[in-house]
Amino acid sequence: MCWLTRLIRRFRILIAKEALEEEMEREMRFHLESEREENLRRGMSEEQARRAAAISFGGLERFKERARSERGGRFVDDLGQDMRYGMRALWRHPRLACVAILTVALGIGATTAVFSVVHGIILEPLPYPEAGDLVAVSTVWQRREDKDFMAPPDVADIETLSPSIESLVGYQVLSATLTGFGQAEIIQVTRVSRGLMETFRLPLLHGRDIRPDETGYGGRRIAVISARFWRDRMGSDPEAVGSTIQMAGTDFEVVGVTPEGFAFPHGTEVWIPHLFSSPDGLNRASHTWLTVGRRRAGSRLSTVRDEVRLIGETLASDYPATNARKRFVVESLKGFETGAVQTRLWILMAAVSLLLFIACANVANLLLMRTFSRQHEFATRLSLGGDRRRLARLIQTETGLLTLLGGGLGILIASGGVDIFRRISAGMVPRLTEVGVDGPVLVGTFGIVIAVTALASWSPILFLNRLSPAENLARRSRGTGTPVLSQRLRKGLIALQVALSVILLSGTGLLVRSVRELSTVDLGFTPERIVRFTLATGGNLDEVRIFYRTLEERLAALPGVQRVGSIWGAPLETPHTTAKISLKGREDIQPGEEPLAGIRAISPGYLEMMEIPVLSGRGLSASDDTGEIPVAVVNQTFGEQNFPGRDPIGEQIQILINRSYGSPVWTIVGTVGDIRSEALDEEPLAEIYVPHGHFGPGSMTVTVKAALDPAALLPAIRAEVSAIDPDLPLRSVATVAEVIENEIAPTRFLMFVGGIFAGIALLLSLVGLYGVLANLTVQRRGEIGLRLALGAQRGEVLRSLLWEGCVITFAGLGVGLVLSLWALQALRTLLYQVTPADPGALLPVTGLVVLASLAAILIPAWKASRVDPLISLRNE
Amino acid sequence: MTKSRADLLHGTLDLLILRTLSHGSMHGWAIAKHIGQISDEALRIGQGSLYPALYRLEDRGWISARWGTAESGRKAKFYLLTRAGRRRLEEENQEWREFSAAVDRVLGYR
Repeated sequence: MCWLTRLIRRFRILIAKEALEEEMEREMRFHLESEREENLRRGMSEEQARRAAAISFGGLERFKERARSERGGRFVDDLGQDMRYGMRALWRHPRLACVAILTVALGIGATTAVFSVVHGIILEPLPYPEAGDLVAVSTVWQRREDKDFMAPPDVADIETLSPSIESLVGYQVLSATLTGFGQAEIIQVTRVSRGLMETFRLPLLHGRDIRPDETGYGGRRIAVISARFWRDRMGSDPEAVGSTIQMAGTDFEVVGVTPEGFAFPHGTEVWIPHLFSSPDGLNRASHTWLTVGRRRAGSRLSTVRDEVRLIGETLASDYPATNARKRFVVESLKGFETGAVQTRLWILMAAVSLLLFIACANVANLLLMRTFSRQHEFATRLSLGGDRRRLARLIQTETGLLTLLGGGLGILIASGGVDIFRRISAGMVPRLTEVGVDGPVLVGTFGIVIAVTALASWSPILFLNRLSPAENLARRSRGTGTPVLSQRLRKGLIALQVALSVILLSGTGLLVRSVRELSTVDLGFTPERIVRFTLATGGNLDEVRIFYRTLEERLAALPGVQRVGSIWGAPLETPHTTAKISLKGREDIQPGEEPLAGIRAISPGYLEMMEIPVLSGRGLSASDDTGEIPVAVVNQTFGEQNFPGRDPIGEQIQILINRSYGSPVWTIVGTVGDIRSEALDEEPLAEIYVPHGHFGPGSMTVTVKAALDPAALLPAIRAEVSAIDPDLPLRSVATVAEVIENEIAPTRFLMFVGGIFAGIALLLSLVGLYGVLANLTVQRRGEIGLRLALGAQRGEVLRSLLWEGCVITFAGLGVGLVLSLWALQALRTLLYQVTPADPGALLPVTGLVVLASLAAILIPAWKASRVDPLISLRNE
Repeated sequence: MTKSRADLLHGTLDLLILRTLSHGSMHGWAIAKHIGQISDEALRIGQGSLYPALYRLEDRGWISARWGTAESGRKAKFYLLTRAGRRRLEEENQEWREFSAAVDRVLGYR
C-alpha cells in the first residue's frame, strides 16, 4: 500500500476520532464477551467466567492506549493535549509567560523587520523578466576603485565586440521643465542611446520604442512616455501616440507608452533619444553615460567580465590617448543598484541575529528555571511509566506555544518598524517599494520561530534527560538539590549574552564616535543660514548669464537676505562634472595622461558668500563674468597636484569637455581653499572655479544667505523667480544644513538602530543575570541560613555571591571585547576617522557594562545577606 | 538479518496472524483462539499484544477490516488478508525459516 493511502487513512482517523473510539470499544467488548462465553462452555460458573475473562483481558485502558498508539494519528492527539496543557500553564504563571513572550516578540520582531528590508532590497530579484541577466558596465580609472560613467564610443564598442552581451544601452538622467500640462513642472527625463524595452524584454503599452537610427547626430525629437505619465497627465488619451509634448521649450513627438510600473531609472517619466548637434558628439574622453544591458541567456557573468576586460585592453591600445588608463567592470544590475547599501544591511542583519540569540538564551534560561521547579512533577511522571520522549515533546510544545505567540506579536512589531523605516529612508535607499512584511518574509519568520523553539527548548530537555526519577523523588528538600550542570549551563548562557551585548554596544559606540566626527568635520565653507535651490533654464551664453545675474540682484535686494550666489556643481551633491585638464606649456604630459579636476562655474561673489578663503592672487569678480579674457581660480589641491612647490598664478589651462561654445583657454588668477565637495568623509579633489558668464550652464544652484532663518525667505524667493519667469519651478529646495544632515543620515540611522538593539540586548542580559542570581539565592536559602547560623558574617555571604556574579560578568566582558575587535572590522567602511579598536568607544562600553552588571548583582546579593537563618532553616 | 528482541516478537506475531488469516477472514477473538488451539495452548496471545498487532498490520495495509456478523449473531470486526499481505506472508515466512535455521546451526555447533 503506498504512502498516499496511508496518509488518507491517517487523515480519516483524525476526523472520525469519536467513531473509531466507539468501534474499538465494541471490538474489545466483543472479545471480552466471547471469552466469557467460552469460559462458561468450559464449565465455569457465571461469576468465575466473567472474572476469568476480565483478568485474562487485563487492563482495558492500557490496551486501548497501546492500540491507539499503533493505529497512528497519535501524534496530533498528543499535540492537541499538550497545547491545551501548555495554555493552562501559561495562564497560571502570567508573569513568566509575559516576560518570555515579550522577549521572543522583541527578538523575532527585530529580526523579521531587518529581514524584510534585506529581502526586499538585496534578495528579491528585480521585477523584470529574466532580471538575473541584466548587467551594468562602468569605467574604473587606473589606481582608483570607484566607478565612473562610460564614454559613448566605449559603450558602442563593448556592445559590438562582446559576444556574450546581447545589448548595452547608454543613458543619462536629466531634469527638464515640462509645460503644457497645467502648472510647469520639473520632471525626470532619461536620454537613451536606444530604446530600453528590448533590453528589459517588456512589451510597450502603446506605440513603439526609440530606434537606434533615431538617436545620435541627425536624430529625431521623439519621446516615449511612462504609463503613469499617460494616465495622470494625459488622462489615458487613446490619441496620445502621435501627439506632442513640450519640454525645456522644445516639442517632442510621443511615439510610445511604456508598460505599467516601468520607470527605469527610478523616477523617469519620459525617455528621449540622445541627440548630438555635431557629428563628433561621440567623445571617448567624455564620460557621461550610465549603462544597462543584457547578457545572453546561459552565459556566465565571469565570461562576460573576461570579455569586457579584453575589450578594455584592446581599446586601450587602439586609442591610447583616451583609454590607456581605463578599465571596464561588469556587474549585475541588481548589484549595481543596491551595492552601496548592501554592506550596511548585512551589518544590520548580523546585529539583529545577535539580538535574537540573546533573546533565545533568555527564554532558554526562563524555561530551564521552570523545568527545574517542575522536576518533581516530571520525576513522578517518569516513575509512573511516562515516556521520556513524550515529556520532551511536551516541553517542545509548550516552548512552541510561547514562540508562536511571541512570533505573532513580533510580526506586528516588525510591520510597524518596517513602516517607520520606509518613511525615514525615502530617497536614501534603493528599491524601497519592494520592502515589506510579505509572503517570503513570513515564511522566513516561521522558520525563525521553529529555530527559536529548538534553541530555547534545548537546555530544559537536556536537564530532563539527566533527571533520574528515583534519585529525585528520594530527595525531598530543594536545598542542595541544584545539579551542577544546570547551574553551569545557566551561568554560561548569561556570560554569552553579556559577550554578545558587548559586541553590539561596541559597534554602537564606534558609530556614535563616527557620527560625531562627521558632524564636526571642517567643510571649508560656512554652511549656516543658507538655503539653495536649482533652476533649469535655456538659451545662449548671454541669455543665461543675464538671467542669473538679474535674479541674483533682485534676490539680494530682498529684506532679510545678506548675500546671493549661484554655482554649477554644488558641493555635497553627486555627481558633479570631472574633466581632463590640459596644462598649456607642459609638453611632458602625454595625451591621455592629463590630470582630472572638478569643474565649478560660479557667479561673482560666490566665494565671498561661502567664505571660502583666497590663499593667493584673487577671487572671481563681476568683471570676470563678462570680461574678454577667460580667467579661473583653482583650489589648493589642484595647485599642489599640478604645480607643486610654486604658485599656479599666470598658468594657462584648457578644460577638455565638450561644450557647444568651444573650449577657451583659462588663465589662473588665484588659489582658494579646499572644500568638501564630494562627500563629508572624502578628501577634497582638485577643482577649478570658472566664471559662470563664460561657461554658461543653464542649470544652476542658487544659494541665498539669510540674516536669520533661511527657510522663512522661501515665499519671497519664489515670488521673485515667478516674476521673472512664471513657468520656472524651483527644484531641490533645501537648506545647506539639511543637505549636510542628509549626508550623515545613513550613518546616524545605523547608529540609532544599533543603539536600540544594543540597549535591548544589554537589558535582556541584565535581566538574565539578575534572574540567575536571584534564583540561586532562593535555592541556597537553606545553605545560607545554615552558614549564618554557624557564625558566618553577612558580609561574607554578600561577597561570595558578588564574586560569583562578577565572574560571569567579567568573563562575558572579556570574551565580548576580544570578539568585538575581530567582528567590528566589518564596520570599517562605515566609520570615519575611527578604528574598530577605538578606546574612546570601548572604554565607555566597558564602564557601562560593569556598572549595570554590578547593579544587577548587588540586589540579589544584598537580599541573600539579609536571609534570616531561623526562618530559612525552619522551612527546610 | 539482525533483529532486536522487540522486532523479533513483533515479527513473529505478525507472521502468526498473517498465516492464520490466510485460511480465511476472522475476527480478533477467533484469531487468538485459533493460534492457541493449533499450538496446543503453547502460544497464548494476550489481548494486549493481539489488538495492537492487528491495528499495526491494518495500518501497513497487510490486512483489512470489515464489520460483519459472528456465529453468535452479534456484530464483530472481521480481518482479512490483502494481496500485499499475502506477499508479506511469503517474505516473513522465508525470513523465519532462515532465522530458525541459523539458530539451529549455532546451537548445533556448540
